[in-house]
Amino acid sequence: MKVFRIRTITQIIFFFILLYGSYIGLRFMNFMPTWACTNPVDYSSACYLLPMQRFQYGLNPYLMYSMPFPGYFIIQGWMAFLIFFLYLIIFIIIFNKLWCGWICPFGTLQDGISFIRKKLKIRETQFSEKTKHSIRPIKYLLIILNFVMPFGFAFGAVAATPIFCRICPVKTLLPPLHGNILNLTIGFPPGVVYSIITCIFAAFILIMIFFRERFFCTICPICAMIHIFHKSSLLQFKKNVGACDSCGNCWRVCPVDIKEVYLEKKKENVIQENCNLCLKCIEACPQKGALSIKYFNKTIFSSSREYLEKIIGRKGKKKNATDNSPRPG
Amino acid sequence: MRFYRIFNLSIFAVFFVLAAGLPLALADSSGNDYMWLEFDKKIKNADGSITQPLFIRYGQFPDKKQDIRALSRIEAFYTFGEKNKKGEDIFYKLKIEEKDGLPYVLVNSNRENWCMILVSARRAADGKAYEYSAKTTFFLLGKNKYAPEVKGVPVEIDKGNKRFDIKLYRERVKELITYSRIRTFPIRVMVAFDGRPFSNRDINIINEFGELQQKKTDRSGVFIYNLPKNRQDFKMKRRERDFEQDVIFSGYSVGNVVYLGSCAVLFDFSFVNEGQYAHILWQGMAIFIIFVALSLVYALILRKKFKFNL
Ligand code: SF4
Ligand code: SF4
Ligand code: SF4
Repeated sequence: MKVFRIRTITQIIFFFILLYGSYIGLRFMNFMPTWACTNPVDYSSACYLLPMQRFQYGLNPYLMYSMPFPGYFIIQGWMAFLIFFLYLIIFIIIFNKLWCGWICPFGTLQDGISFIRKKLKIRETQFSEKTKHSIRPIKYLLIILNFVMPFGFAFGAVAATPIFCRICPVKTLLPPLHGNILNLTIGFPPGVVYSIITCIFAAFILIMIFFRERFFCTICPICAMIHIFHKSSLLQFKKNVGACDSCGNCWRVCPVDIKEVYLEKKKENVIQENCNLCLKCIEACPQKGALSIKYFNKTIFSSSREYLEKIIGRKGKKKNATDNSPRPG
Repeated sequence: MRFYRIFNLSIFAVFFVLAAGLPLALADSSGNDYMWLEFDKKIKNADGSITQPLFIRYGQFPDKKQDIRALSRIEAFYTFGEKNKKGEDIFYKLKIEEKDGLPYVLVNSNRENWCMILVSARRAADGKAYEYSAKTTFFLLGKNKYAPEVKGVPVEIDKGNKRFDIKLYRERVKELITYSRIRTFPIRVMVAFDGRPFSNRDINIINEFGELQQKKTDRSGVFIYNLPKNRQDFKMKRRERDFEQDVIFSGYSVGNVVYLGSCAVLFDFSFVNEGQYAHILWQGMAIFIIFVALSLVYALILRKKFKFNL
């Protein structure tokens, strides 16, 4: 079976399991690095970013009353942080960014929206290099909002709510699939100003996702966290520089417009910050073994002309094969 | 050979009999019947206010219920936590109604209120006097401060009605961002008798499944208990109900008088279920839709230039 088909099926299965699995008794709670706001109580998974912010509870005045001993919640918060951090590392070791391309329900939702755009024959919006550069730091800024700031608050005088959660667009865009639109309520828990910001941010992200494939992934803090530790993974995305003939197919087909794989002339490890390991570039590369996915250093999927010819169905049409974007070749 | 088989089977049989009998053996440990408040489903009123109905029950929670007509002088009071000049809670009398042949009280709130209900009753039997008190505290998240509010006249309650004081710190604990209960955190309870800490005494906590936890208060009358984690998920998965309750109870004798106090602990699965947000939802929807339109126009204008600069 073709890889993109296996990927689509996997994405759909995980999308339903992670969102609606509770109906058949599956509850993963926060234990998967996944976006799934905790508001709909019937979700089978809950947002991963929430327990990692638990150390903010250390000085929550309400919780102080139920402390079995002083400092209980600071210890519990830190334990939660460390446990979930460990979980993340385990997931990265096993899946690397395969998580993003194959499992994450919000990634799948974005792919679904892009699919509709393509069906409507609306072309994708192109970003200039300058724009791409200016977007880059956003995900790291969101990590700061997620962990560093609540951490600061925990030892300051303020009992903070997770700041990222207050403005998170996912909490507005994903729960409606569960029939829950409460996060669109002005003044719902985070307060009036934050809920207005959330509505505006979510509206903007929705439109951007429509015009630009996986736009949210380019600012996603989970993506950034995975990238920081990606080298520790057993799964690696490799380029055999000598086999590459610089055709540019990998750049053309990449849904997140990564050109570094094409440009790389020295390094073997070509996994990039915004890559979600969709493997489209490997599928589109005509050179035998130029691009490959390795697990435990064993090749599990690699590029070849035969595979490319098989997926496009006609022999000889190798260049621009799967491309319909105006990206330069 | 045959002997060993029978021997092994009998060991298993004894084990299963013991395991099956354990909760029953525990549930009946105190022996005394007591009075408690039992939550019924909240009523969301059309005007945005919210009503919590509660049954007054007598016997043993959850299913060894006795006829409440054995008790006399049943009185019920509630407070929303407002204080008088002396710093004491201002109580109002609750009308005791009847539903399904049981005494029933209703508290209504048009805004977000914390509420405490106290019920007292008496009984005389076997030459002894029994004084019952039942208490509970919970949130009522009414959403329309303009809805009419009927509170009645504040009343002074007899000191005897507040003799057993079981105080929870847990009900104010919620996930700040999602308004769901933080279920994994322990519940801290302080027990006082006649205003003094009820130190080094046995306290029983019984849940809807009849499982009993036995605790001892420390010198300051405090004990801490944990809610078994999986229980709530179990119910949530099945969407049976959006709440569950435990009952904490204890007893104390002074001469010929037996004081039996209880406190019902409400566990909501989500505050969201409690609140009513429909009338403020449209504002957010409007902002969202307006900004979807604006972002669309912005994107389309910038796409004309074939470049998109943020
Ligand atoms: S980058 Fe973030 S939103 Fe995108 S697929 Fe990965 S985890 Fe999901
Ligand atoms: S670099 Fe390759 S695997 Fe990564 S996102 Fe682009 S096409 Fe997919
Ligand atoms: S598709 Fe393959 S051959 Fe073409 S530029 Fe990319 S890595 Fe090189």
